[in-house]
Amino acid sequence: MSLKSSMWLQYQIDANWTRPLVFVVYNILRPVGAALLLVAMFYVVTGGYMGGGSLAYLYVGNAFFMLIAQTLFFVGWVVHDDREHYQVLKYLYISPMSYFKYLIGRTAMRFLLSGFALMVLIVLGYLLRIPYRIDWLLLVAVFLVGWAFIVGAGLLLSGINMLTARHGGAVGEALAGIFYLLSGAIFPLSILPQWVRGFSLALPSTYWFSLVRRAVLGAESEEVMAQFTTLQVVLYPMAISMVLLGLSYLSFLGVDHLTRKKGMLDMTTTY
Amino acid sequence: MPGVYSIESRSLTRTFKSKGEVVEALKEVDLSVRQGELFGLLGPNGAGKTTLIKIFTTLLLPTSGYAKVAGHDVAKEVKQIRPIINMVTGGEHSGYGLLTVRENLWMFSQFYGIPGKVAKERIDSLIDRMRITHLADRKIRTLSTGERQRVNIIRAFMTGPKIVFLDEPTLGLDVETSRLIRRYVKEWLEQDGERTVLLTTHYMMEADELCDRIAIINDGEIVALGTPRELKKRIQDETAIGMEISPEIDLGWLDGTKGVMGYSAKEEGGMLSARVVMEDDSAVSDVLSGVTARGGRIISFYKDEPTLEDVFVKLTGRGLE
Ligand SMILES: Nc1ncnc2c1ncn2[C@@H]1O[C@H](COP(=O)(O)OP(=O)(O)O)[C@@H](O)[C@H]1O
Ligand SMILES: [Mg+2]
Repeated sequence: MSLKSSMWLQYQIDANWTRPLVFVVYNILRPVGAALLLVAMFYVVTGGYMGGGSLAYLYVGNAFFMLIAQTLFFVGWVVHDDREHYQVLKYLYISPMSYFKYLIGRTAMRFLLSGFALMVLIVLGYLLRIPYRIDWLLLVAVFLVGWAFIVGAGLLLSGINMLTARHGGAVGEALAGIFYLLSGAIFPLSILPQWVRGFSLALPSTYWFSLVRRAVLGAESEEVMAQFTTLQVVLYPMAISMVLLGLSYLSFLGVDHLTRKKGMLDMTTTY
Repeated sequence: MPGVYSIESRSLTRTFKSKGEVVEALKEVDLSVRQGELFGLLGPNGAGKTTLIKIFTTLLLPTSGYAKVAGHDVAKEVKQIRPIINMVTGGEHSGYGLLTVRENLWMFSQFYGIPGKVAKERIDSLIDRMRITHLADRKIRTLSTGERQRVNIIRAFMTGPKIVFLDEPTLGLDVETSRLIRRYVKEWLEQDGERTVLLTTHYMMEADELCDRIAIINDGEIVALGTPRELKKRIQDETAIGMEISPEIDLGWLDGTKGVMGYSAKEEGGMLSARVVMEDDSAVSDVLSGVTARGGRIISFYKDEPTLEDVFVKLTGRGLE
Protein backbone atom coordinates (compact mmCIF):
# COMPACT_ATOMS: atom_id res chain seq x y z
CA MET A 1 0.00 0.00 0.00
CA SER A 2 2.67 2.49 0.98
CA LEU A 3 4.67 1.51 -2.08
CA LYS A 4 1.77 2.20 -4.37
CA SER A 5 0.87 5.45 -2.64
CA SER A 6 4.39 6.78 -2.67
CA MET A 7 4.63 6.01 -6.38
CA TRP A 8 1.38 7.82 -6.88
CA LEU A 9 2.72 10.77 -4.90
CA GLN A 10 5.82 10.96 -7.03
CA TYR A 11 3.68 10.83 -10.13
CA GLN A 12 1.60 13.71 -8.84
CA ILE A 13 4.68 15.73 -8.03
CA ASP A 14 6.50 15.07 -11.29
CA ALA A 15 3.90 14.60 -13.95
CA ASN A 16 2.09 17.66 -12.85
CA TRP A 17 -0.37 18.15 -15.69
CA THR A 18 -1.81 21.23 -14.12
CA ARG A 19 1.49 22.88 -14.93
CA PRO A 20 2.17 21.46 -18.39
CA LEU A 21 4.84 24.06 -19.09
CA VAL A 22 6.96 22.81 -16.20
CA PHE A 23 6.52 19.26 -17.39
CA VAL A 24 7.49 20.14 -20.95
CA VAL A 25 10.53 22.11 -19.87
CA TYR A 26 11.86 19.40 -17.59
CA ASN A 27 11.03 16.39 -19.67
CA ILE A 28 11.43 17.63 -23.21
CA LEU A 29 13.08 21.00 -23.66
CA ARG A 30 15.88 20.57 -21.17
CA PRO A 31 17.00 17.09 -22.22
CA VAL A 32 16.59 17.89 -25.89
CA GLY A 33 18.50 21.14 -25.48
CA ALA A 34 21.30 19.37 -23.65
CA ALA A 35 21.47 16.63 -26.29
CA LEU A 36 21.57 19.09 -29.18
CA LEU A 37 24.26 21.10 -27.44
CA LEU A 38 26.28 17.93 -27.07
CA VAL A 39 25.84 17.08 -30.74
CA ALA A 40 26.80 20.62 -31.75
CA MET A 41 29.89 20.46 -29.56
CA PHE A 42 30.77 17.16 -31.11
CA TYR A 43 30.74 18.71 -34.57
CA VAL A 44 32.69 21.76 -33.48
CA VAL A 45 35.36 19.72 -31.72
CA THR A 46 35.73 16.98 -34.30
CA GLY A 47 34.71 18.90 -37.40
CA GLY A 48 32.47 15.93 -38.16
CA TYR A 49 35.67 14.06 -38.66
CA MET A 50 35.21 11.16 -36.33
CA GLY A 51 32.36 9.62 -38.18
CA GLY A 52 28.87 8.50 -37.25
CA GLY A 53 30.05 5.77 -34.88
CA SER A 54 31.34 8.23 -32.33
CA LEU A 55 28.26 10.37 -32.60
CA ALA A 56 26.01 7.38 -32.02
CA TYR A 57 28.14 6.35 -29.02
CA LEU A 58 27.91 9.75 -27.46
CA TYR A 59 24.28 10.34 -28.32
CA VAL A 60 23.02 7.06 -26.91
CA GLY A 61 25.18 7.36 -23.78
CA ASN A 62 23.87 10.83 -23.14
CA ALA A 63 20.25 9.81 -23.72
CA PHE A 64 20.38 6.91 -21.29
CA PHE A 65 22.28 9.01 -18.82
CA MET A 66 18.95 10.81 -18.48
CA LEU A 67 17.64 7.90 -16.46
CA ILE A 68 20.49 8.14 -13.99
CA ALA A 69 20.71 11.91 -13.85
CA GLN A 70 17.05 12.68 -13.39
CA THR A 71 16.60 10.04 -10.74
CA LEU A 72 19.70 10.93 -8.76
CA PHE A 73 18.97 14.66 -8.91
CA PHE A 74 15.60 13.88 -7.46
CA VAL A 75 16.79 11.43 -4.84
CA GLY A 76 19.28 14.00 -3.63
CA TRP A 77 16.42 16.24 -2.64
CA VAL A 78 13.60 13.95 -1.56
CA VAL A 79 14.53 13.58 2.10
CA HIS A 80 15.40 17.24 2.33
CA ASP A 81 12.08 18.26 0.77
CA ASP A 82 10.05 15.93 2.96
CA ARG A 83 11.75 17.29 6.02
CA GLU A 84 12.03 20.98 5.31
CA HIS A 85 9.84 21.95 2.40
CA TYR A 86 6.75 19.85 3.00
CA GLN A 87 7.52 19.32 6.72
CA VAL A 88 6.01 15.87 6.56
CA LEU A 89 9.03 13.72 7.36
CA LYS A 90 8.11 13.32 11.00
CA TYR A 91 4.53 12.45 10.14
CA LEU A 92 5.69 9.88 7.60
CA TYR A 93 8.15 8.55 10.10
CA ILE A 94 5.67 7.95 12.92
CA SER A 95 3.28 6.14 10.60
CA PRO A 96 3.35 2.34 10.54
CA MET A 97 4.75 2.24 7.00
CA SER A 98 8.45 2.01 6.42
CA TYR A 99 10.05 5.20 5.17
CA PHE A 100 12.47 2.96 3.31
CA LYS A 101 9.64 1.46 1.29
CA TYR A 102 8.23 4.90 0.68
CA LEU A 103 11.57 6.00 -0.76
CA ILE A 104 11.70 2.92 -2.96
CA GLY A 105 8.29 3.85 -4.33
CA ARG A 106 9.17 7.44 -5.02
CA THR A 107 12.54 6.62 -6.55
CA ALA A 108 11.08 3.88 -8.71
CA MET A 109 8.40 6.19 -10.08
CA ARG A 110 10.93 8.90 -10.76
CA PHE A 111 12.92 6.36 -12.72
CA LEU A 112 9.88 5.38 -14.74
CA LEU A 113 9.05 8.98 -15.49
CA SER A 114 12.60 9.64 -16.62
CA GLY A 115 11.84 7.11 -19.31
CA PHE A 116 9.71 9.80 -20.89
CA ALA A 117 12.66 12.11 -21.52
CA LEU A 118 14.60 9.11 -22.77
CA MET A 119 11.89 8.26 -25.26
CA VAL A 120 11.90 11.82 -26.58
CA LEU A 121 15.66 11.63 -27.05
CA ILE A 122 15.45 8.28 -28.82
CA VAL A 123 12.93 9.68 -31.25
CA LEU A 124 15.13 12.72 -31.80
CA GLY A 125 17.96 10.26 -32.48
CA TYR A 126 16.05 8.88 -35.46
CA LEU A 127 15.99 12.36 -36.94
CA LEU A 128 19.73 12.65 -36.37
CA ARG A 129 20.22 9.35 -38.20
CA ILE A 130 21.58 7.43 -35.23
CA PRO A 131 22.01 3.87 -36.56
CA TYR A 132 19.80 2.06 -34.06
CA ARG A 133 19.82 -1.71 -34.01
CA ILE A 134 17.63 -2.46 -31.06
CA ASP A 135 17.72 -5.79 -29.27
CA TRP A 136 14.49 -5.73 -27.32
CA LEU A 137 15.43 -8.44 -24.87
CA LEU A 138 18.62 -6.63 -23.95
CA LEU A 139 16.68 -3.39 -23.69
CA VAL A 140 14.51 -4.97 -21.04
CA ALA A 141 17.69 -5.98 -19.23
CA VAL A 142 18.89 -2.38 -19.51
CA PHE A 143 15.84 -1.17 -17.66
CA LEU A 144 15.87 -3.88 -15.03
CA VAL A 145 19.53 -3.50 -14.22
CA GLY A 146 19.33 0.28 -14.41
CA TRP A 147 16.38 0.33 -12.11
CA ALA A 148 18.04 -1.87 -9.51
CA PHE A 149 21.19 0.20 -9.68
CA ILE A 150 19.52 3.58 -9.40
CA VAL A 151 17.22 2.54 -6.61
CA GLY A 152 20.12 0.98 -4.69
CA ALA A 153 22.39 3.97 -5.16
CA GLY A 154 19.53 6.37 -4.54
CA LEU A 155 18.52 4.77 -1.26
CA LEU A 156 22.08 4.83 -0.03
CA LEU A 157 22.18 8.51 -0.87
CA SER A 158 18.89 9.11 0.94
CA GLY A 159 20.29 7.43 4.01
CA ILE A 160 23.19 9.87 3.98
CA ASN A 161 20.79 12.74 3.47
CA MET A 162 18.82 11.81 6.55
CA LEU A 163 21.90 12.62 8.54
CA THR A 164 22.84 15.87 6.86
CA ALA A 165 20.74 18.96 6.65
CA ARG A 166 22.24 20.60 3.63
CA HIS A 167 23.77 19.96 0.25
CA GLY A 168 21.81 16.76 -0.21
CA GLY A 169 20.92 17.75 -3.74
CA ALA A 170 24.49 18.65 -4.50
CA VAL A 171 25.65 15.18 -3.49
CA GLY A 172 23.18 13.63 -5.92
CA GLU A 173 24.33 15.92 -8.71
CA ALA A 174 27.99 15.25 -7.99
CA LEU A 175 27.33 11.53 -8.03
CA ALA A 176 25.50 11.80 -11.33
CA GLY A 177 28.40 13.86 -12.69
CA ILE A 178 30.86 11.14 -11.75
CA PHE A 179 28.79 8.55 -13.55
CA TYR A 180 28.59 10.82 -16.57
CA LEU A 181 32.31 11.36 -16.86
CA LEU A 182 33.75 8.08 -15.67
CA SER A 183 31.29 5.42 -16.81
CA GLY A 184 32.02 5.66 -20.49
CA ALA A 185 28.66 7.31 -21.10
CA ILE A 186 30.11 9.79 -23.57
CA PHE A 187 33.89 9.44 -23.16
CA PRO A 188 35.06 5.94 -24.13
CA LEU A 189 37.19 4.28 -21.49
CA SER A 190 39.98 3.90 -24.01
CA ILE A 191 40.61 7.66 -24.03
CA LEU A 192 40.62 7.97 -20.23
CA PRO A 193 44.00 7.93 -18.43
CA GLN A 194 45.03 4.50 -17.22
CA TRP A 195 44.54 5.22 -13.50
CA VAL A 196 41.05 6.60 -14.08
CA ARG A 197 40.19 3.56 -16.14
CA GLY A 198 40.76 1.28 -13.17
CA PHE A 199 38.26 3.32 -11.22
CA SER A 200 35.81 3.30 -14.12
CA LEU A 201 35.95 -0.46 -14.35
CA ALA A 202 34.88 -0.67 -10.72
CA LEU A 203 31.72 1.37 -11.38
CA PRO A 204 28.68 -0.75 -12.18
CA SER A 205 27.39 2.07 -14.37
CA THR A 206 30.29 1.49 -16.76
CA TYR A 207 28.96 -1.99 -17.50
CA TRP A 208 25.45 -0.70 -17.70
CA PHE A 209 26.35 1.81 -20.42
CA SER A 210 28.07 -0.98 -22.28
CA LEU A 211 24.88 -2.98 -21.99
CA VAL A 212 22.97 0.03 -23.31
CA ARG A 213 25.13 0.20 -26.44
CA ARG A 214 24.74 -3.50 -27.07
CA ALA A 215 20.97 -3.21 -26.68
CA VAL A 216 20.49 -0.08 -28.76
CA LEU A 217 23.35 -0.02 -31.29
CA GLY A 218 23.66 -3.76 -31.78
CA ALA A 219 27.22 -4.11 -30.50
CA GLU A 220 29.85 -2.65 -28.21
CA SER A 221 32.18 -0.43 -30.22
CA GLU A 222 34.29 0.69 -27.28
CA GLU A 223 37.41 -1.48 -27.21
CA VAL A 224 37.98 -1.75 -23.44
CA MET A 225 34.42 -2.75 -22.73
CA ALA A 226 34.19 -5.00 -25.79
CA GLN A 227 36.40 -7.45 -23.89
CA PHE A 228 33.45 -8.29 -21.65
CA THR A 229 30.70 -10.61 -22.72
CA THR A 230 27.12 -9.44 -22.76
CA LEU A 231 26.34 -11.75 -19.88
CA GLN A 232 29.09 -10.14 -17.86
CA VAL A 233 27.80 -6.64 -18.43
CA VAL A 234 24.38 -7.79 -17.28
CA LEU A 235 25.45 -9.77 -14.26
CA TYR A 236 28.12 -7.51 -12.86
CA PRO A 237 26.00 -4.35 -12.42
CA MET A 238 23.08 -6.51 -11.31
CA ALA A 239 25.16 -8.09 -8.57
CA ILE A 240 26.53 -4.71 -7.47
CA SER A 241 23.00 -3.29 -7.39
CA MET A 242 21.83 -6.12 -5.17
CA VAL A 243 24.72 -5.40 -2.84
CA LEU A 244 23.82 -1.69 -2.93
CA LEU A 245 20.21 -2.46 -2.09
CA GLY A 246 21.27 -4.64 0.81
CA LEU A 247 23.75 -2.04 2.00
CA SER A 248 21.23 0.74 1.73
CA TYR A 249 18.79 -1.24 3.82
CA LEU A 250 21.39 -1.95 6.47
CA SER A 251 22.52 1.65 6.45
CA PHE A 252 18.90 2.66 6.84
CA LEU A 253 18.61 0.67 10.02
CA GLY A 254 21.72 2.40 11.31
CA VAL A 255 20.56 5.78 10.10
CA ASP A 256 17.17 5.23 11.68
CA HIS A 257 18.81 4.71 15.04
CA LEU A 258 21.17 7.65 14.56
CA THR A 259 18.49 10.12 13.52
CA ARG A 260 16.40 9.16 16.52
CA LYS A 261 19.40 9.43 18.75
CA LYS A 262 20.43 12.80 17.44
CA GLY A 263 16.97 14.18 16.79
CA MET A 264 17.38 14.99 13.11
CA LEU A 265 13.93 14.16 11.84
CA ASP A 266 12.61 17.66 11.82
CA MET A 267 15.86 19.50 11.68
CA THR A 268 15.81 22.50 9.40
CA THR A 269 18.73 24.01 7.59
CA THR A 270 19.97 27.22 9.10
CA TYR A 271 22.43 28.69 6.69
CA MET B 1 -5.13 -2.73 29.46
CA PRO B 2 -5.70 -2.49 33.20
CA GLY B 3 -2.77 -1.41 35.31
CA VAL B 4 -0.95 0.07 32.35
CA TYR B 5 -0.63 3.78 31.83
CA SER B 6 -1.36 5.09 28.36
CA ILE B 7 1.68 7.30 28.56
CA GLU B 8 4.41 6.87 31.08
CA SER B 9 7.96 7.96 31.73
CA ARG B 10 10.42 7.31 34.53
CA SER B 11 13.56 9.31 35.18
CA LEU B 12 13.37 10.34 31.56
CA THR B 13 16.37 12.44 30.63
CA ARG B 14 17.33 13.85 27.29
CA THR B 15 20.42 15.86 26.53
CA PHE B 16 21.53 17.54 23.33
CA LYS B 17 25.03 18.49 22.38
CA SER B 18 25.18 21.62 20.35
CA LYS B 19 28.27 23.68 19.63
CA GLY B 20 30.23 21.97 22.37
CA GLU B 21 27.58 22.76 24.96
CA VAL B 22 25.40 20.16 26.60
CA VAL B 23 21.74 21.12 26.92
CA GLU B 24 19.60 19.14 29.32
CA ALA B 25 16.22 19.39 27.64
CA LEU B 26 14.57 16.93 30.04
CA LYS B 27 15.74 16.09 33.54
CA GLU B 28 14.45 12.95 35.23
CA VAL B 29 10.87 13.41 34.12
CA ASP B 30 8.29 11.10 35.72
CA LEU B 31 4.91 11.15 34.07
CA SER B 32 1.88 8.86 34.27
CA VAL B 33 -1.09 9.54 32.07
CA ARG B 34 -4.16 7.35 32.46
CA GLN B 35 -6.40 6.10 29.74
CA GLY B 36 -9.18 8.56 29.00
CA GLU B 37 -7.27 11.55 30.25
CA LEU B 38 -6.67 14.80 28.48
CA PHE B 39 -3.34 15.56 30.00
CA GLY B 40 -1.65 18.92 29.58
CA LEU B 41 1.96 19.97 29.69
CA LEU B 42 2.13 23.66 30.39
CA GLY B 43 5.41 25.48 30.07
CA PRO B 44 7.18 28.34 28.33
CA ASN B 45 9.31 28.14 25.21
CA GLY B 46 12.32 25.94 25.66
CA ALA B 47 10.83 24.09 28.63
CA GLY B 48 11.21 20.71 26.92
CA LYS B 49 7.64 20.09 25.76
CA THR B 50 8.47 19.24 22.17
CA THR B 51 11.37 17.07 23.23
CA LEU B 52 9.05 15.04 25.43
CA ILE B 53 6.47 14.69 22.67
CA LYS B 54 9.15 13.58 20.21
CA ILE B 55 10.30 10.88 22.58
CA PHE B 56 6.78 9.54 23.07
CA THR B 57 6.09 9.60 19.33
CA THR B 58 9.23 7.54 18.59
CA LEU B 59 11.03 10.37 16.83
CA LEU B 60 13.70 10.76 19.45
CA LEU B 61 15.45 8.36 21.80
CA PRO B 62 15.80 9.02 25.51
CA THR B 63 19.31 9.63 26.81
CA SER B 64 18.44 7.76 29.98
CA GLY B 65 15.37 6.56 31.81
CA TYR B 66 12.46 5.15 29.86
CA ALA B 67 9.26 6.20 28.16
CA LYS B 68 6.33 3.94 27.39
CA VAL B 69 3.25 4.31 25.26
CA ALA B 70 0.43 1.84 25.94
CA GLY B 71 2.96 -0.18 27.87
CA HIS B 72 5.44 -0.36 24.99
CA ASP B 73 8.95 0.97 25.30
CA VAL B 74 9.55 3.80 22.80
CA ALA B 75 13.14 2.74 22.28
CA LYS B 76 12.45 -0.88 21.40
CA GLU B 77 8.80 -1.39 20.51
CA VAL B 78 8.27 1.13 17.76
CA LYS B 79 6.24 -1.33 15.69
CA GLN B 80 3.62 -1.73 18.40
CA ILE B 81 3.40 1.97 19.12
CA ARG B 82 3.17 3.60 15.68
CA PRO B 83 -0.15 2.13 14.54
CA ILE B 84 -1.99 3.37 17.63
CA ILE B 85 -0.63 6.90 17.92
CA ASN B 86 -0.67 10.09 15.95
CA MET B 87 0.56 13.60 16.40
CA VAL B 88 -0.09 17.20 15.44
CA THR B 89 2.40 20.01 15.80
CA GLY B 90 1.42 23.65 15.71
CA GLY B 91 3.18 26.61 14.18
CA GLU B 92 4.25 24.89 10.97
CA HIS B 93 3.09 24.42 7.42
CA SER B 94 3.08 20.75 6.74
CA GLY B 95 1.64 18.84 3.81
CA TYR B 96 2.41 18.36 0.14
CA GLY B 97 1.52 21.82 -1.07
CA LEU B 98 0.84 20.73 -4.62
CA LEU B 99 -1.70 18.09 -3.65
CA THR B 100 -5.25 18.95 -2.73
CA VAL B 101 -6.58 18.60 0.79
CA ARG B 102 -8.34 15.37 -0.10
CA GLU B 103 -5.31 13.95 -1.92
CA ASN B 104 -3.01 14.70 1.00
CA LEU B 105 -5.32 13.01 3.45
CA TRP B 106 -5.93 10.09 1.14
CA MET B 107 -2.24 9.46 0.80
CA PHE B 108 -1.63 9.47 4.53
CA SER B 109 -4.57 7.15 5.05
CA GLN B 110 -2.87 4.71 2.69
CA PHE B 111 0.36 4.93 4.64
CA TYR B 112 -1.68 3.66 7.58
CA GLY B 113 -3.16 0.88 5.49
CA ILE B 114 -6.74 2.05 5.97
CA PRO B 115 -9.08 0.34 3.49
CA GLY B 116 -10.14 2.69 0.70
CA LYS B 117 -13.81 2.92 1.48
CA VAL B 118 -13.30 3.45 5.19
CA ALA B 119 -10.66 6.08 4.49
CA LYS B 120 -12.95 8.00 2.15
CA GLU B 121 -15.76 8.02 4.69
CA ARG B 122 -13.55 9.14 7.52
CA ILE B 123 -11.92 11.87 5.45
CA ASP B 124 -15.27 13.21 4.28
CA SER B 125 -16.77 13.23 7.70
CA LEU B 126 -13.75 14.94 9.28
CA ILE B 127 -13.51 17.49 6.47
CA ASP B 128 -17.08 18.29 7.31
CA ARG B 129 -16.42 18.37 11.04
CA MET B 130 -13.48 20.75 10.55
CA ARG B 131 -15.68 22.93 8.32
CA ILE B 132 -13.44 22.87 5.28
CA THR B 133 -15.75 21.09 2.85
CA HIS B 134 -15.42 24.01 0.45
CA LEU B 135 -11.64 23.60 0.49
CA ALA B 136 -11.51 19.84 -0.04
CA ASP B 137 -10.32 20.08 -3.62
CA ARG B 138 -8.03 23.04 -3.19
CA LYS B 139 -4.27 22.62 -3.17
CA ILE B 140 -2.80 22.70 0.29
CA ARG B 141 -0.40 25.49 -0.55
CA THR B 142 -3.28 27.88 -1.19
CA LEU B 143 -4.69 27.47 2.32
CA SER B 144 -4.24 29.83 5.25
CA THR B 145 -2.39 28.79 8.39
CA GLY B 146 -5.61 28.01 10.21
CA GLU B 147 -7.03 26.00 7.31
CA ARG B 148 -3.83 24.01 7.02
CA GLN B 149 -3.90 23.17 10.69
CA ARG B 150 -7.45 21.86 10.31
CA VAL B 151 -6.15 19.51 7.63
CA ASN B 152 -3.33 18.54 9.92
CA ILE B 153 -5.83 17.68 12.64
CA ILE B 154 -7.78 15.48 10.22
CA ARG B 155 -4.57 13.76 9.16
CA ALA B 156 -3.93 12.74 12.74
CA PHE B 157 -7.41 11.76 13.84
CA MET B 158 -8.56 9.93 10.70
CA THR B 159 -6.12 7.07 11.31
CA GLY B 160 -8.10 5.93 14.33
CA PRO B 161 -5.38 6.40 16.95
CA LYS B 162 -5.82 5.48 20.59
CA ILE B 163 -3.32 8.01 21.84
CA VAL B 164 -2.85 11.43 20.28
CA PHE B 165 -0.03 13.86 20.95
CA LEU B 166 -0.72 17.51 20.31
CA ASP B 167 2.28 19.80 20.47
CA GLU B 168 1.01 23.37 20.79
CA PRO B 169 -1.75 22.57 18.29
CA THR B 170 -3.28 26.05 18.36
CA LEU B 171 -0.02 28.00 18.20
CA GLY B 172 -0.48 31.12 16.13
CA LEU B 173 -4.01 30.21 15.01
CA ASP B 174 -7.05 32.42 14.71
CA VAL B 175 -9.57 32.29 17.53
CA GLU B 176 -12.18 30.39 15.54
CA THR B 177 -9.86 27.61 14.43
CA SER B 178 -8.41 27.28 17.93
CA ARG B 179 -11.86 26.92 19.38
CA LEU B 180 -12.90 24.41 16.76
CA ILE B 181 -9.84 22.28 17.41
CA ARG B 182 -10.23 22.38 21.18
CA ARG B 183 -13.85 21.43 20.98
CA TYR B 184 -13.13 18.59 18.62
CA VAL B 185 -10.33 17.17 20.77
CA LYS B 186 -12.58 17.16 23.79
CA GLU B 187 -15.42 15.56 21.89
CA TRP B 188 -13.14 12.93 20.36
CA LEU B 189 -11.93 11.94 23.79
CA GLU B 190 -15.42 11.65 25.23
CA GLN B 191 -16.60 9.35 22.44
CA ASP B 192 -14.48 6.45 23.60
CA GLY B 193 -13.07 5.76 27.04
CA GLU B 194 -9.99 4.07 25.64
CA ARG B 195 -8.63 7.24 24.09
CA THR B 196 -5.94 9.47 25.56
CA VAL B 197 -4.53 12.87 24.65
CA LEU B 198 -1.29 14.49 25.68
CA LEU B 199 -1.31 18.17 24.82
CA THR B 200 1.40 20.76 25.26
CA THR B 201 0.78 24.45 25.37
CA HIS B 202 2.10 27.68 26.70
CA TYR B 203 -1.38 29.21 26.74
CA MET B 204 -2.59 28.88 30.30
CA MET B 205 -6.20 29.41 29.29
CA GLU B 206 -6.01 26.48 26.92
CA ALA B 207 -4.61 24.20 29.60
CA ASP B 208 -7.11 25.38 32.17
CA GLU B 209 -10.13 25.03 29.94
CA LEU B 210 -9.23 21.74 28.29
CA CYS B 211 -7.15 19.51 30.52
CA ASP B 212 -8.13 17.04 33.19
CA ARG B 213 -4.69 17.18 34.70
CA ILE B 214 -1.73 19.41 34.03
CA ALA B 215 1.98 19.08 34.57
CA ILE B 216 3.78 22.38 34.73
CA ILE B 217 7.15 22.05 33.10
CA ASN B 218 10.03 24.45 33.31
CA ASP B 219 13.60 24.04 32.20
CA GLY B 220 13.20 20.31 31.60
CA GLU B 221 11.65 19.60 34.97
CA ILE B 222 8.10 19.01 36.08
CA VAL B 223 7.58 21.51 38.85
CA ALA B 224 3.93 20.85 39.68
CA LEU B 225 1.21 18.42 38.78
CA GLY B 226 -2.51 18.24 39.39
CA THR B 227 -5.94 19.20 38.16
CA PRO B 228 -6.31 22.86 37.20
CA ARG B 229 -8.23 23.42 40.40
CA GLU B 230 -5.62 21.75 42.57
CA LEU B 231 -2.87 23.73 40.95
CA LYS B 232 -4.65 27.01 41.47
CA LYS B 233 -5.16 26.13 45.12
CA ARG B 234 -1.44 26.25 45.48
CA ILE B 235 -1.50 29.99 45.56
CA GLN B 236 -4.41 30.42 47.89
CA ASP B 237 -2.22 31.93 50.56
CA GLU B 238 -0.43 34.23 48.19
CA THR B 239 -1.59 37.39 46.55
CA ALA B 240 -1.75 37.78 42.79
CA ILE B 241 -2.51 41.12 41.19
CA GLY B 242 -2.91 42.23 37.62
CA MET B 243 -2.25 45.71 36.29
CA GLU B 244 -1.88 47.65 33.12
CA ILE B 245 0.92 50.12 32.95
CA SER B 246 1.66 52.91 30.49
CA PRO B 247 4.15 53.74 29.21
CA GLU B 248 6.01 50.46 29.23
CA ILE B 249 8.64 50.32 31.91
CA ASP B 250 11.18 47.70 32.81
CA LEU B 251 9.98 45.56 35.71
CA GLY B 252 13.32 43.93 36.50
CA TRP B 253 13.45 45.64 39.87
CA LEU B 254 10.49 43.51 41.05
CA ASP B 255 12.85 40.55 41.40
CA GLY B 256 14.60 42.23 44.32
CA THR B 257 11.48 43.60 45.96
CA LYS B 258 10.69 42.11 49.34
CA GLY B 259 7.63 39.87 49.37
CA VAL B 260 7.48 39.54 45.56
CA MET B 261 7.69 35.94 44.35
CA GLY B 262 7.70 36.66 40.66
CA TYR B 263 5.95 38.44 37.83
CA SER B 264 4.95 38.06 34.23
CA ALA B 265 4.52 40.86 31.76
CA LYS B 266 3.55 41.23 28.16
CA GLU B 267 2.94 44.09 25.84
CA GLU B 268 -0.67 44.58 24.86
CA GLY B 269 -1.82 47.44 22.70
CA GLY B 270 1.03 49.76 23.63
CA MET B 271 0.60 49.03 27.32
CA LEU B 272 2.30 46.65 29.64
CA SER B 273 0.02 44.02 31.05
CA ALA B 274 1.61 42.56 34.15
CA ARG B 275 0.78 40.10 36.87
CA VAL B 276 2.69 40.00 40.11
CA VAL B 277 2.59 37.21 42.64
CA MET B 278 3.42 38.14 46.25
CA GLU B 279 3.70 36.27 49.50
CA ASP B 280 0.82 38.30 50.93
CA ASP B 281 -0.99 41.64 50.71
CA SER B 282 1.74 43.51 52.51
CA ALA B 283 3.90 43.91 49.41
CA VAL B 284 1.16 45.40 47.25
CA SER B 285 1.76 49.02 48.19
CA ASP B 286 5.52 48.69 47.60
CA VAL B 287 4.86 47.31 44.14
CA LEU B 288 2.43 50.05 43.20
CA SER B 289 4.63 52.85 44.46
CA GLY B 290 7.60 51.23 42.74
CA VAL B 291 5.83 51.41 39.40
CA THR B 292 4.93 55.08 39.84
CA ALA B 293 8.42 55.94 41.02
CA ARG B 294 9.79 54.59 37.74
CA GLY B 295 7.54 56.73 35.61
CA GLY B 296 4.81 54.14 35.00
CA ARG B 297 1.19 55.17 35.18
CA ILE B 298 -1.14 52.48 36.45
CA ILE B 299 -4.09 52.43 34.07
CA SER B 300 -5.92 49.64 35.82
CA PHE B 301 -5.34 47.44 38.79
CA TYR B 302 -7.21 44.35 39.82
CA LYS B 303 -7.03 41.51 42.27
CA ASP B 304 -8.92 38.52 40.94
CA GLU B 305 -8.94 34.74 40.83
CA PRO B 306 -5.49 33.21 40.58
CA THR B 307 -4.60 31.77 37.19
CA LEU B 308 -2.37 28.88 36.17
CA GLU B 309 0.15 31.42 35.05
CA ASP B 310 0.24 32.81 38.57
CA VAL B 311 1.06 29.32 39.77
CA PHE B 312 3.84 29.18 37.23
CA VAL B 313 5.10 32.58 38.33
CA LYS B 314 5.10 31.50 41.95
CA LEU B 315 7.04 28.34 41.16
CA THR B 316 9.57 29.81 38.77
CA GLY B 317 9.62 33.54 39.29
CA ARG B 318 8.75 34.25 35.67
CA GLY B 319 5.88 34.22 33.20
CA LEU B 320 4.92 31.71 30.53
CA GLU B 321 5.52 33.89 27.49
N1 LIG C 1 18.04 19.11 18.28
C1 LIG C 1 18.41 19.90 19.30
N2 LIG C 1 19.70 20.25 19.47
C2 LIG C 1 20.07 21.02 20.50
N3 LIG C 1 19.26 21.51 21.43
C3 LIG C 1 17.94 21.22 21.32
C4 LIG C 1 17.46 20.40 20.25
N4 LIG C 1 16.11 20.27 20.39
C5 LIG C 1 15.79 20.98 21.51
N5 LIG C 1 16.88 21.55 22.07
C6 LIG C 1 16.91 22.37 23.30
O1 LIG C 1 16.20 21.69 24.31
C7 LIG C 1 15.43 22.60 25.08
C8 LIG C 1 13.97 22.20 25.04
O2 LIG C 1 13.46 22.43 23.75
P1 LIG C 1 11.97 22.06 23.34
O3 LIG C 1 11.69 20.67 23.77
O4 LIG C 1 11.82 22.37 21.91
O5 LIG C 1 11.12 23.08 24.21
P2 LIG C 1 9.60 23.54 24.04
O6 LIG C 1 8.94 22.67 23.06
O7 LIG C 1 9.02 23.45 25.41
O8 LIG C 1 9.67 24.97 23.60
C9 LIG C 1 15.71 23.97 24.52
O9 LIG C 1 16.72 24.57 25.30
C10 LIG C 1 16.19 23.68 23.13
O10 LIG C 1 17.06 24.69 22.70
MG1 LIG D 1 7.93 23.21 21.33
